[in-house]
Amino acid sequence: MTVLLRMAGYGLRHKLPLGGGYAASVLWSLTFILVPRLLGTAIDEAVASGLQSRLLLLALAIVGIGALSALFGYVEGYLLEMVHHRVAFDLRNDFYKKVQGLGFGFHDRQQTGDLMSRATTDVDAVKQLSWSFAHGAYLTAFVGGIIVLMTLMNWKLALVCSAFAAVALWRSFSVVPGMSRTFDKAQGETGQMTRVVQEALAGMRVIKGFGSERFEQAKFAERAGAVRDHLTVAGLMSNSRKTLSSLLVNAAIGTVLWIGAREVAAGRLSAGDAAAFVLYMGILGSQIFWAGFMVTSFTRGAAAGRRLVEVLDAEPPVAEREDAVVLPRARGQVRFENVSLAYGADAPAVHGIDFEARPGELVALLGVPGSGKSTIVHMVPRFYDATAGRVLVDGVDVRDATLDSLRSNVGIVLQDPFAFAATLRDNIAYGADDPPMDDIVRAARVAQIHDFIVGLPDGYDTWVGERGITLSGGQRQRLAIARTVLLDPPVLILDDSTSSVDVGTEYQIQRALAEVVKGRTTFVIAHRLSTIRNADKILVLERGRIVERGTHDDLLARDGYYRRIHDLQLAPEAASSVDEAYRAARDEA
Amino acid sequence: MSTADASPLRSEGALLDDEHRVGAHTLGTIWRVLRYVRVHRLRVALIFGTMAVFTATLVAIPWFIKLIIDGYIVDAEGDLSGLDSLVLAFGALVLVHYVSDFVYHRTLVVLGQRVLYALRTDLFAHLTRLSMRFYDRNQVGRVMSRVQNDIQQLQELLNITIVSVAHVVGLVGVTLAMFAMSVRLALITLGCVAVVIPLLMLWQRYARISFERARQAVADVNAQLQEGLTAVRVIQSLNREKANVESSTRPTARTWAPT
Repeated sequence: MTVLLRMAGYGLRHKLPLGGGYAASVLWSLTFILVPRLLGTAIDEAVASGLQSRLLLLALAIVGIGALSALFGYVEGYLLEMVHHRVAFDLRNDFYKKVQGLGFGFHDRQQTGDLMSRATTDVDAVKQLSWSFAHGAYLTAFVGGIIVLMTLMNWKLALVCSAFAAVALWRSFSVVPGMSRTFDKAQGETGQMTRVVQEALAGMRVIKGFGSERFEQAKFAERAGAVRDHLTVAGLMSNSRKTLSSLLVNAAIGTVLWIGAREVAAGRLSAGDAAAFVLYMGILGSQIFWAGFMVTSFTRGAAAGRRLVEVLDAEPPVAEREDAVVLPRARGQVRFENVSLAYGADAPAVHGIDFEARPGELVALLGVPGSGKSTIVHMVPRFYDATAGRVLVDGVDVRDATLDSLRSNVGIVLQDPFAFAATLRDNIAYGADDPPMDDIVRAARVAQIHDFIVGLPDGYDTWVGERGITLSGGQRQRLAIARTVLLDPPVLILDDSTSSVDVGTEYQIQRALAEVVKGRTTFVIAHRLSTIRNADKILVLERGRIVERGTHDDLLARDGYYRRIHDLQLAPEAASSVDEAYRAARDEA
Repeated sequence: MSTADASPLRSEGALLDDEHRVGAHTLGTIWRVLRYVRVHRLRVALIFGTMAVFTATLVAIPWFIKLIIDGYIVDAEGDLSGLDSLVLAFGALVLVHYVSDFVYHRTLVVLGQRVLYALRTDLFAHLTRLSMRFYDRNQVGRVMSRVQNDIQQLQELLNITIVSVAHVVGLVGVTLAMFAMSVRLALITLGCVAVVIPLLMLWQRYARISFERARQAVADVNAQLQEGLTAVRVIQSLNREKANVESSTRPTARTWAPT
């Protein structure tokens, strides 16, 4: 109920169209139910007097009221449709805003496909709620109005009709809990199915590379099968409710005719009134059927609302303190003081990390995947918070700085570079507010991508992605470097920027990096020793701990892991990456 | 069953250019969906059989009401002999109507979900067979949007097609019954229908364009959402959450327009 009220709150933001729509809805019902009453009167007139003038007047009244009813119906539809799209607009934007603000910790646990399903399917289900509330309003007006009119005609028959309507309504509503559970499951399964499709589409290159199309098809078929089964059960429940409502209405009509004939014979009911009763039972039946839809829509909306609220109320894993200070442009000193980080109840991902990067220094991190390299560097811009110890930038604990000012000081080129569906110019300028073209070109030159861009027919105005060019991994990486360079951050993090490119591309990226690191404190995670040999400080990590530290020469002299990695990479049958060399060195050790 | 033909993504090299789909070939789509239905011959036979009974009883119920009103309410003059057996016959008719209604709709639900399952799995298999060129040139969000929307549309189309057959059969039955009761009144009623049909056709012409535009807007929004969710780490690392949220509200606004 709390979820429903909260979702209803989105409708209440648009009071005028919502109020107008509901008022039109009630007026539509009230005018509509007058028609059978007038028809009954017309029948009595025709039977009793047959006066053409009276009949014509009644016919005109029926047409007029019918037209008025249609007008109210149109106004209701127009206004509520408007509300329902605005509710979706507000809700989708709130959801998107929230998700954009939730940190890496949240996104590590969530699948993009599942979030997409919430932002689309669930938002659609919630927007239907404004109709459901309207149905509630006009159903009350309809049923209430019809029962009053029937009681005025003949209380005995009114009682019979009300009893049937009550049973049909009770039956409609009694299946709600079961249906709610089934729709919850169907909604969840649909989300899972969407996730499978989304992941497959995003990772199609890998799927084709490994020839695992059939495996993916089987995975999808399993999910689609679960969706089919749940939706079938839900459909069958809905069907049984609907057909039973129809049975009850027809049974009620039979009873009305059976008792009505006796009442007419006894002079307690006119023929026209009996006909009106039959018509009213028909209308009641259709409205009870709509009550079923309303129930379905409520249950769907509530299930979807719960899934949206889960995200809307999610606590950001990294929150800004109220008294956070604005960090001015930093000199670039970064200090880790005995830092540990554990995800939930798991064993710490990194433990006892303690080192300092002085302004302008190049610090390289080395280790196999999962050794904690990325986790460490991600704590500088607060993508994750330390669970023990602290991280300082220019002596300020990162948790005491505003996120905005901290992240303006720390630039990061992520492992998986992303190119937006936009022009190359907009892609480079993405992180800045309308930067001058000269700055964009300068950043592109530093990132060694300018020559490639100017070689394209449309140059910087070339579209990337859909309806445009496709970039290779190395080009995307250099584009991402240009994007970060443009912001000129005093602290720069290069998170595995050359992990998935060939040697030729790596050479180009390395040329770019040599320019990029000048004058800033730089953290680099790399897979080839050639990238990190010139680092001022090299940290070798294993299972979240620093196992060796020093310069290239220091570490070579020490004859530890680093030395063995170095020898393996320089051997004739050199390992192609640090990972391989590292594993070999560890095995050897 | 040919998946490529059944799939809305017919040409693998083609862009998902929704602008060109305005006024899509509905009949062709219906035909392709019906090929999926043909596999379930027994269920289809059951649907048509129960639909015939359902429609016949649907027409007979008002006829029985007329018999009772004419015989015992308007012209009875106090004589109620035969009313009880007529009402009992009416009750039996209502029961038959209920059973046929129940079986008809139940089979329809099962058939619909099975056809959709086949459509979904075939479409997904087709997607995995498309070349990388297709994925290089189409945003994942847009493909997702098309997959979700097209399946939804096909579901509705399937329901409408089968339910429409029932409605047409029902309409013929009701029309015949009306003529049997009064040719004059039947003609007046059909006259009203004759006015409504051209109006509906005119409405449909504009509505279809409007619906296609709305679908295009939804695809734009979904593409934007998908990009924003996939690139959330890049966006956060560049401190662009606020700017991104502001720009994302623009295409979303297009879905405001009532259709």
